[in-house]
Amino acid sequence: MTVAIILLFLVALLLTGAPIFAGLGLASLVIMLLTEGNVNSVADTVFAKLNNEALTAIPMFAFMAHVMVRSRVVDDLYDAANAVVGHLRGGLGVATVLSCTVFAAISGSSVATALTIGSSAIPQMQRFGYRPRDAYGVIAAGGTLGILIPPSGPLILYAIVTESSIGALFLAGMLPGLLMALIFAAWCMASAWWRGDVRSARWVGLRAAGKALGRSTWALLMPPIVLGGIYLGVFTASEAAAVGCVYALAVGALAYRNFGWRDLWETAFETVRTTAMLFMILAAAAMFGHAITIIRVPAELVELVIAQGLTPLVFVLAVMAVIFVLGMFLETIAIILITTPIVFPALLELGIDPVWYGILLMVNLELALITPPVGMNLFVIKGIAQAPLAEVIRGALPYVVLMMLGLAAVLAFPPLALWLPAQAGFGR
Amino acid sequence: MSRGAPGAGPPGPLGALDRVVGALAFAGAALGAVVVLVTLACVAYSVVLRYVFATPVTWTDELSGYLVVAIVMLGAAESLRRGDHISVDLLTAGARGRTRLGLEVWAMVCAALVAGAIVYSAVLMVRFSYDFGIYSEGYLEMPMWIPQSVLLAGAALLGLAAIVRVLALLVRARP
Repeated sequence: MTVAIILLFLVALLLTGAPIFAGLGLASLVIMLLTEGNVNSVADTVFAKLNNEALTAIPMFAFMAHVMVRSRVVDDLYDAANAVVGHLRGGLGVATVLSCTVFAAISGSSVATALTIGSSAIPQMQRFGYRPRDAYGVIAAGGTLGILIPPSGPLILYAIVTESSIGALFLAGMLPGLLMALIFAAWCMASAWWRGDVRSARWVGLRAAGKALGRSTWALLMPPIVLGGIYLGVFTASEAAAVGCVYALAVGALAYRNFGWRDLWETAFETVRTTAMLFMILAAAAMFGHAITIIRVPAELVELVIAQGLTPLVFVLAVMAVIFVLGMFLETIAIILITTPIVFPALLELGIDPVWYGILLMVNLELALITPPVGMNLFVIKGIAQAPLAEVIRGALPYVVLMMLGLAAVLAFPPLALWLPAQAGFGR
Repeated sequence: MSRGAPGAGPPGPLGALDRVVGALAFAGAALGAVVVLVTLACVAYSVVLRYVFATPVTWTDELSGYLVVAIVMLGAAESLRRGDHISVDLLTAGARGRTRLGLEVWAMVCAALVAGAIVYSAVLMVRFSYDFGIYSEGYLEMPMWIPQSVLLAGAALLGLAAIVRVLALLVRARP
């Protein structure tokens, strides 16, 4: 009951349009004032949350992606994918999914993925007879892979909140991410075959395809460099991010020769703004976590779960349903930071693997990115394509169903997420 | 979700205040940008020493934590002024006139209140750490009031930026 009241209060506060950190922070202050009668512990809570070495991974991964985009290293990705798979039926759609998948392994953000790939893929797909809405849909959905396929900013935040291993979560996201990509690609091919009026690109020949791939070599090398180190257990996430940054800087400055001192400065400045925005929400979430612990919300949820004799599966299903609904209205980072502290003790009580739950959460948040009325990727595509929102939403709808399939798959077969980290030696 | 655009500066003394706070916020974020590069250099340095020369560095992890605090708090005010802080504008995007003004003021009041609470409690925290000579338990043996003061300064700047914005909105609305 308390949980419901608090969530409603919070959602109402956020719907006033205040910055998320301010709404979340204010709700926490109100709770603290009503219970403890003071707000003396706020700074300690915030400082303890932010003073965390593992958090450096987020600004560094953001920096790395900014460098790759700014020095135009990723510009040829879509063309390369097109040269390789564009001749298949529905090939341009498949190429979009493929390039989103690769970009997702460079960037930890879904918005960046949709933005970067979308600007080259949308005009191309329309030229080949795709209905605008179909082009919007595949980019909206393909873009969401950014947060599931490592590196992923939201996965790092989840790891920080739950004190799980970032490396394990990254590896756990890989196979489900690839599965989703396969599902999207299959849908592109099936719907192209079914509609029959979209053209495919001509097969450019082995040599030309090789050449197109060659132009993207530097971008294609990035994922194995960053993720390889984590998989082999050599690097922590922030070390891998630092290595990725150095690599991106070297490629931008030396191979592409279009990344100078001015770019370095602007990239660093952009990174500060992104980081401040994200981590102020984290700071407010720390206050919120503290506030709900005072009023024993997580503990009450544990008691409720035990009293009702809920099985792990029923509990996870119920939580997923709530998050799906929240996802229609709230932004992904806020959802992670608000819901995780509430449900986490109950998850542990029920013996649910935090890594598995983290991946379920991510897939559900991918849905949040494309479910109206509030879905970040829908807005991004509306922006770059100058398209009516309704058209973008209609295009994304089939992918909502496909993502639910993906969510069901991870729910039904936990090894899909847990096998790879176990192979790499992450265990408890 | 939206990122609100900052308005044009108000006239008169408030305008001067606005420019001062703006310059401070920008300076903070610029310092933050330097800290980003320092953090990157720091982690890269420790990677090289650990994996190339097999001599792990003991202090970089602890320092990185303080640097994260610095990046966030130094950038928060500039982000606020540039309207980077995301919000949910599902219900409020269509608001016009006085409703819109009221909502904008409310948003900044929320931000100012949260920043104020951080400032207030950070003063207590810094004073405590300073008076009792609290040092970090890590290798650096950092006097804790130093990194904690960055939190205090950043929150103060954030609060100031929010208050100036509220004043500017109210002045602009006056007939």
